[in-house]
Amino acid sequence: MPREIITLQVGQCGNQIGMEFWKQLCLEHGINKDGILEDFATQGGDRKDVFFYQADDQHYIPRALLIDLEPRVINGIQNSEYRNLYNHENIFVSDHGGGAGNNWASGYHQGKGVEEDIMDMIDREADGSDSLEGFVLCHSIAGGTGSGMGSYLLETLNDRYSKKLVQTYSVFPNQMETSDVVVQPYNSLLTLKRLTLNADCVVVLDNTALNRIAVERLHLSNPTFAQTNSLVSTVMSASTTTLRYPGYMNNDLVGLLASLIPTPRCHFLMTGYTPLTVERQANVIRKTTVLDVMRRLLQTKNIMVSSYARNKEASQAKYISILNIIQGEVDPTQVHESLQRIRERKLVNFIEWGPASIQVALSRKSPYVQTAHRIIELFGGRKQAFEVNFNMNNDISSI
Amino acid sequence: MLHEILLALCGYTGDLIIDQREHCNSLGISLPSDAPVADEPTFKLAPDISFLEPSERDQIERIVTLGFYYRELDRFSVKSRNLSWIRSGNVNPLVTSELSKGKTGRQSVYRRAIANGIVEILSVYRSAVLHIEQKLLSETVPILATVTQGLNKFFVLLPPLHELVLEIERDDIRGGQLLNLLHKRCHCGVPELQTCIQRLLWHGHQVMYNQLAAWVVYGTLQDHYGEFFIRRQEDTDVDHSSSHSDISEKLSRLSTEDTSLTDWHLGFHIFLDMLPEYIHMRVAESILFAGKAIRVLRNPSHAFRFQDVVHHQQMPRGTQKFQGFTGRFPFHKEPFVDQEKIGEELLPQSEADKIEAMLSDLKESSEFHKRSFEYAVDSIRAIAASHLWQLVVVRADLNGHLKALKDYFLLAKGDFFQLFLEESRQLMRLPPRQSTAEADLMIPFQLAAIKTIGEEDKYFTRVSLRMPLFGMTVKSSQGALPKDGNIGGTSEATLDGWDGIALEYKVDWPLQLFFTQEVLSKYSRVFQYLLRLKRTQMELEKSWASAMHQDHTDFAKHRNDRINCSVSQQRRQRFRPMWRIREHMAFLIRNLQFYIQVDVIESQWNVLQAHIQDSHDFTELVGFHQEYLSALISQSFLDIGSLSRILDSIMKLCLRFCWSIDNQESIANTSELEHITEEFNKKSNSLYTILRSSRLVGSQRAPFLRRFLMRLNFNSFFEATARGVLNVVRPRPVSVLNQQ
Repeated sequence: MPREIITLQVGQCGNQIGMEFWKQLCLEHGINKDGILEDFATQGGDRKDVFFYQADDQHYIPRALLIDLEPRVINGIQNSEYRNLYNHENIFVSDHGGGAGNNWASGYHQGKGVEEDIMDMIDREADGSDSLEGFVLCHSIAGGTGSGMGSYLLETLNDRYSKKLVQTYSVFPNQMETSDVVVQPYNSLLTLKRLTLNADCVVVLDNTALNRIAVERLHLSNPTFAQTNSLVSTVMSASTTTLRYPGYMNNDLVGLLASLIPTPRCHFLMTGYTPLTVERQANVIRKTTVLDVMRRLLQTKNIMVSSYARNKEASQAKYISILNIIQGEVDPTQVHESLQRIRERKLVNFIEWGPASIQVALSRKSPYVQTAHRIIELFGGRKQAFEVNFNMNNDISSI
Repeated sequence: MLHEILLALCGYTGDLIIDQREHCNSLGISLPSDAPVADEPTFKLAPDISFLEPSERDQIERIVTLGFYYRELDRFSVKSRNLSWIRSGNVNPLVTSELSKGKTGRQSVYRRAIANGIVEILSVYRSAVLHIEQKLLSETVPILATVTQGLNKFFVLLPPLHELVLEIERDDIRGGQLLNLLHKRCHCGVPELQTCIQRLLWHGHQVMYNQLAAWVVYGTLQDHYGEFFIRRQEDTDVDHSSSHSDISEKLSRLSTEDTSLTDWHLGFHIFLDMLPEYIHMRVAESILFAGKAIRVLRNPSHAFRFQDVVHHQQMPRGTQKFQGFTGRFPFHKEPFVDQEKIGEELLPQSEADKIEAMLSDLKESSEFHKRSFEYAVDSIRAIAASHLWQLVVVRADLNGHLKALKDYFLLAKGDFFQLFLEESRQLMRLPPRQSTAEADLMIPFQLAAIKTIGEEDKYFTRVSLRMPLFGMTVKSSQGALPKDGNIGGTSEATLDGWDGIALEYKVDWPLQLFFTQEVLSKYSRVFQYLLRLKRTQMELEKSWASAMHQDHTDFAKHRNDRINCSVSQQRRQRFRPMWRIREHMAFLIRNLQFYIQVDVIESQWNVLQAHIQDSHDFTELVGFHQEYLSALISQSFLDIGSLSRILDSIMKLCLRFCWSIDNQESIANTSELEHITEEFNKKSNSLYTILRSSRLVGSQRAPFLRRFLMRLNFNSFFEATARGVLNVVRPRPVSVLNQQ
């Protein structure tokens, strides 16, 4: 079926957020833990085939490749209740199981070594899809496997599937704490170069920001990885709703990305999501008018990136483009009013050298997930963030 | 002597009292029954009687006029009530009609009813004469005064009645006009006369109510002489002795289109001549609507239509004009046998009874109360409308169809059209081939359908793709489509003929009542616009992807070759204007799309949904839907010539841009690119100026324009460039670029 997207989960972090992502998708599409469609979910009018395909026995199987150099996380997945969901042929764990030792170069090098195996898997998945749209890569840029092997995969994908899009969900390291991994900055830098040059779109997710959001927004004193990962999966699933619940616009990845990325190198996106909930406390009372939600999305504290935007420079930061995806039932007239209000109050700064506006896409919501409120998600590219990345890029070039 | 007078009073002349006219013509020949009513009293006392005093003579002559009036009225009523034609009519309708047509002119049910009323009055008169006779016999000295006294009250009655009859006869007043006349006459100061005429009016109304009942209870026209104020359209056509070709054409039309549809839209109309003035036009329209609705409800299926057509064809041409007379009965009785059950469901008998009861209540009341009549008509209309609503909305699943129309005509099924455009992209790069274009498109269309919709959408089967070609004659059923070319096809040579792609939606009975050809053509207009927009957007996205890809490969090459950076930097510099213009184009197109989707379609859709929820009346529904459609068209600026032209040319420019990018994989032809850029800047500026222009700001559309403008100009970029153009005269995108 058309416009398929293959997900590659690389490394510990990549597999963890990938896991959460599939959980979320299964929930939204009414697919149970074994990949079987629930009885109530047969009339959804949704497009499961973008992310899933059906096995001979009608099981829904994620178009996902689970890749890691150490077996711990993947074993965890295989022992979890979702073990029957994945295609076992799509799981790759390196033979020695030693991991990459938080070393970019090791990951990159090992990636080169197992290129054949992995590309075989990718080819198989690609052949199984009708008109492949692109790849989504989940990884962190700080560790060894995700960054090193991910980088290598990016380059290979670019070579082999040059016409396909590559989108990454990249988790950036936590800057607030000193890391126990000494080479973390180097890992990050080396990966960033590949992200800049080989990916079509990078969704930046910042551990610091995720932590902050978990603490401040969700009032968790000590957020666990599972909790922050669920934030990521929420964002991932929300940003793909227009693909999965087709509407007027943004029904494929190209459309989604083309509207956000004006020039090739400006492809680092920031995300925000509101209202956020963790399973335990779904009953937080909030006012969710369209305006409120749109305003909340513009607040830096709701954005899942904590660049320098929190400092005084934030006031000068400018958006290049913004896309709001509003899920659920919304009175469309409110959208216009909110836009007007935001403009009047100058709640958002845009670049002045090109046309830009807040684009609002209305999307259907999964009928199977019961939430009392609308879910809204923002995609934005911020000039501030780019400058940072450009700087890094230049550093790398000069190395 | 007195008996002679009494006889004369009963209309029989003798020696003593003679009919002057008769006398003049030739003595002894009785008048033929259908001679016109004489307009002046001709009963006179024979002039050769000498034994009467002049005063007595006057007296007698005065009384005797009553006899004349009586006779004339009697003749009128006998003539009007002559039913002989019916008997013979059953034997051979053709002949009798010719006969009746030739002999008595057009018959009139109303006139007969009036005649009945007159007979009633005359019988009163006769009994009065009888009474007088008895009186005279019983009295010893019969005097003329008794006669005068007994008949005095008739002096106020008979002469005006005679006058009335005279007028009816002379002007051949029939149907509603007759009612009208009577109603006017009703307003007179003489109470006796008033009651008398009211009685006549009552008789006339009986007929009208009967016809009304037939119309609103059974949906049939029981109007043999074209007297009811609601008429079948064909009747008039047929009346002008249509030529053979005419009829055959009509028959073919009837067989291709479905008759019930034409029935609804054109079949019946209000015949103003026959509409009594005291019935308001609005009321008449309500009646018309109610009848049509009942008609639809009573005759619910295709089978009926088929029979109808067959019936039309079976009728020999000569008897076409009898369709209205005899044809109608078998017409409706036959289908009733098998359709009765469904009809019953659609319109429960109890409701029909209710309508009938209402009408019979009206029938019984001796006077015509305008208010109660209108009230009854209104409630009948409400019943009919709500049942029609029931039929259309609940049974025929109007919501589903509306949704489907939105899905397909308003591109709510974005993925489907995305895929369709994708699949047909290669095809659409070439100009359409005259003969096979539609078939060519069919393949991607079906493919897209299979891939995205599958079996899920039962409405999809109704949608079909059309590709009306310029210069080709389009069938009449698609007659509305080619005119859409005018919107897309500006004076510039159309860049590609694919813009003419249209959708067709098959509508089942009874939804044709709702989705008329006109409505569908409006939908189709919006559809073409949206599809063009979507196509443009998709091309822009494609060029984004390909440019992105270009960027990657360039980099890869650079990495592999390890040539010096500056070359690659320069190359990228050269791509910058391209990226820039692409972004601007995409921005414009995207925002237009967002605007149409969110601010127009979704908003209007919600409004429509709310209305449908609330309303239980078919006519209201139609109105809301019309509003919805016209809002769609006007808010997407399809009807503002200047705007739609400029948007159109922008879209074309975008397509040209994409193709030129696509064609030159390597370095884009800079001069071509510059040209397009300049053109685009000019166009987008003028778009901005038009949107801002004072002329449009004042208009009703101002709010929508402002919405679109706000989306476009969210960060005031357009404003700034527009100002820049004004100052600098020539747009200099390069200078702006440098600011990056």
